[in-house]
Amino acid sequence: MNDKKLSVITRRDFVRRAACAAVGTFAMTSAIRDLRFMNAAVAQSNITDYKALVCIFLQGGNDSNNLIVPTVPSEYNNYSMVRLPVLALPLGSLQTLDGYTDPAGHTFGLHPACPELKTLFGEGKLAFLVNTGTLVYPITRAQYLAGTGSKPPQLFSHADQVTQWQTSIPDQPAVTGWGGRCADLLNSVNPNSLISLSVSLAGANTFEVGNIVSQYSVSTSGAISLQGVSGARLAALTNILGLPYPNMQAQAYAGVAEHSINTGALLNNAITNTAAANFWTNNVGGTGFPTNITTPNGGSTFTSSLSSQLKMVARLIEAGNRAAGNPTNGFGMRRQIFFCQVGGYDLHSGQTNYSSNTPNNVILGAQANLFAELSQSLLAFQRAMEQLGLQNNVTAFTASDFGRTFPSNGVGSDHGWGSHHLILGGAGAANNGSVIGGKTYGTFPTLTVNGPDDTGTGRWIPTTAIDQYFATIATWFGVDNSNLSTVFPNIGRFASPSLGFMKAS
Amino acid sequence: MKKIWSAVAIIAFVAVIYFFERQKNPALENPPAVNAAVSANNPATPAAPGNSAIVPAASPAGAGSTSPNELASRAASPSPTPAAGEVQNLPPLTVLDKARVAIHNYNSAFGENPVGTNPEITAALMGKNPKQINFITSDSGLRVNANGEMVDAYGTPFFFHQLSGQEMEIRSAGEDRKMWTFDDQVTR
Repeated sequence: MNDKKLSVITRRDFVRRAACAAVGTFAMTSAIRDLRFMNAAVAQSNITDYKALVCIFLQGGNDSNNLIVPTVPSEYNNYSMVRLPVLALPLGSLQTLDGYTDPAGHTFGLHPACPELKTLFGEGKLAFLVNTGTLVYPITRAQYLAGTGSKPPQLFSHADQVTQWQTSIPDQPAVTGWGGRCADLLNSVNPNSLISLSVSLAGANTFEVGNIVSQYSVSTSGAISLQGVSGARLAALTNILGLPYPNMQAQAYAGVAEHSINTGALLNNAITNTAAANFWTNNVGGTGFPTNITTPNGGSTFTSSLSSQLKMVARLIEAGNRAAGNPTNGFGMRRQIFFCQVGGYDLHSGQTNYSSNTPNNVILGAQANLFAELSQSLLAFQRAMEQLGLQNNVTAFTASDFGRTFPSNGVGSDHGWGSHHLILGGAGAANNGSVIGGKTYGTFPTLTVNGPDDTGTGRWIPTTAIDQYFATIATWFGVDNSNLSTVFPNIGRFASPSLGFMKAS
Repeated sequence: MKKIWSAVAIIAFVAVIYFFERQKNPALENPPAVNAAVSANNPATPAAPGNSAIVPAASPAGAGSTSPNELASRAASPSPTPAAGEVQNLPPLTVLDKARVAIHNYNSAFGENPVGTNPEITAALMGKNPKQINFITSDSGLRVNANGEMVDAYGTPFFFHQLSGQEMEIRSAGEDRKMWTFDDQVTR
């Protein structure tokens, strides 16, 4: 009888126990991951050089079909035929990547608003990774159409794809970003860190969420300080916050507030020194970081958010790399991660200024403005790194929600999947440094609706996973092979963790 | 006994007449949305784009016009029962809201919205989902065209803008049937 009682488990009991087990397993998994991070952090502590990563998130889903365009006649004709009339850039308007042919025989031109990117590519400091995107496992068109392959959940949805790009774990609930996991792993190499390893120029983001390291948000003019509190008033506030409080919550709040005020003051003091000279205004032929972008070919002039963000990143890199304490007031850091973001890429309409009366205006419009901003801001940033002598220590890269549909919807393009991205840094032909530029990486998709790379409506199935894209960068940044699967748990599902666009050191 | 048999015969006669009437007019047993679903799978009977039958006669401002031919066609209809699609006569904003409700119901069932293009989302709503639930039911007031696209009151396919797994922006092209113009109607 007793045996029978022991063996009977009601459905309710089973669900309850399973739920407890699930919670326990999740907690244990998190604990194991934290322990692995702690152990790994110790193992990584032999790092002594300086490196920085700069993530530039193109929010909304960039139509990279018009960022890099095939110029082999048959391929261009195919491109033009599908994208006419609203999205097809004229062949003669493209910034051709002269002298470059990829291993598959493709030649390319960039959007006419991107002459600076052409310059950087020609100098060997800029690389393109083509047709990359979120993947759970590699998937073919046949598997996609048959519904037999694993697809990332909520494909084509903005918020979900942004999260997946920033976590690089599309098949699990978002807990940390891959930048945050790198920061957790490498935080111990920043001795006596005065500011966080992870800094955001665009507010809270998933990319920099870690288990240990918290992201620190700054504005384009520096640390965000208390409005209207300075001088004697600030001193009084600091004194009040420094008092002992009987309530633990009040004590903790006072501690956080005081730390925040002190960190903000420290950061603003450090970047004040970087802005002392005309350094930031003379780094690109006297134009410096362009606050106003003018789109080429008669386009509009507008204020750039991205340029301001990258200028602040450059100043924080300078301060971060400088020795800590007086007289330089630097931070003496060895690793820094930055997050920038620029919106407006969700161009369902108004992507170009094409009209039947003004067909040549296809090279102007919202996307041309965004590309001009990206191109000019990246050149300014790269030149700033060269002026600091840190071009081999800093890598900037783009990310975006997804690519966009190859055929136009009549006035723009809709949500897609795989897309092309930029990786910037290095000194060109030097043996060490960061990016092996002047090349494209990955497999350029066959630009055919219902072709081998298409889901069916001109949305490219990625042939390279973002896990591979980011693992390649993270390895350069200092995540060693033994820890790669801790930062990118799905990396083993894909052919190679290294795509070869970063130098070894 | 004779009276009983007469009553039975009369009842049987009425039943036969009723049966034949239903056979002649399937709209009685197939509500419009079901017909619409059928038309999506049968290219031979597409829901005509811009079919004014679904545009309310006393439509709100900007709710489209009805051509004289279509009005004449309606007046000439001998049947007191509207043809499939006509019985709805729903205002454009109501159709738009019903699309929103269908998405909401899908979300309630699966915890997330359907994704993809209009035909993919429509297929998911019509049963191509893990539970094979049809969210475009007979009383949903929604129509699907021959391409498998859910259409607005003017017959133009909706545009589904997937903001997140939980939030969908649904856009109707409005009376001019051109997407991204001033008369578009949008809901979330």
